Amino acid sequence: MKLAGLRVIDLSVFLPGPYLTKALSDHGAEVIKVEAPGGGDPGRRIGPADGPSTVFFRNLNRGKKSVVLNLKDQGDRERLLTLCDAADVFVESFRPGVVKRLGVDYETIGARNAGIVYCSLSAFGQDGPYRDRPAHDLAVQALGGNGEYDAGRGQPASDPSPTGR
Amino acid sequence: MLDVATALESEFIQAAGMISQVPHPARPDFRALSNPLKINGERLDLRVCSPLGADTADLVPAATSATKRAAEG
Repeated sequence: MKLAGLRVIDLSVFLPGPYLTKALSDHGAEVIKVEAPGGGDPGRRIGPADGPSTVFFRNLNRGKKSVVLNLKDQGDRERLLTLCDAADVFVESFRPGVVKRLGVDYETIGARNAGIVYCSLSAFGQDGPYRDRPAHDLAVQALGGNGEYDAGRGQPASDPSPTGR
Repeated sequence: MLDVATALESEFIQAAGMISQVPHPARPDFRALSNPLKINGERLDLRVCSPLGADTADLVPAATSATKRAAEG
């Protein structure tokens, strides 16, 4: 497995980040999913359940380990930083600014582990006028006019669909 | 195009080694289709995700008992 030996710390939730780290896991990386207490990734509860987790969740998170840490707790934050000291990749999908507030931003982690690859995913990027807006697929398609494009001009917007259907 | 049930019975797919028995929390006989790509001749593994917090004790031995309790809640 070409990524065997790489350790990935994954704080992302829902779909985009977990999809990325699923690819890393499929290719042999050790992906440690760090989840919040009280239920973890909301993706665990999206879609039909089949056993203790949903099909949606298992498709996006296969092969990953799960650790629960409360990042608002100073002790657990330190434990995360210790995990990051021995990691190769860090992935997060909070809104811009949240990792700074939690004290797990690139400046903090990179100062302890200069070689880490730090990946931030957000709806509109880390800067620009929309940076603080939360959004997923549906909102981005609506904003881009895709719903009207698929339904036809003057018609009610269609359900989200692959672009250029 | 084959649906999943038909694909799992396909002689071609079986011969290609694309069917994996995967540990499943509720179905001991669960089978799934593997990724069609091989990297350096190796088929990619299919593994399930750990239940919530299942690896906390192994990877973060000093995690607070409060955090462990919260994970169960």
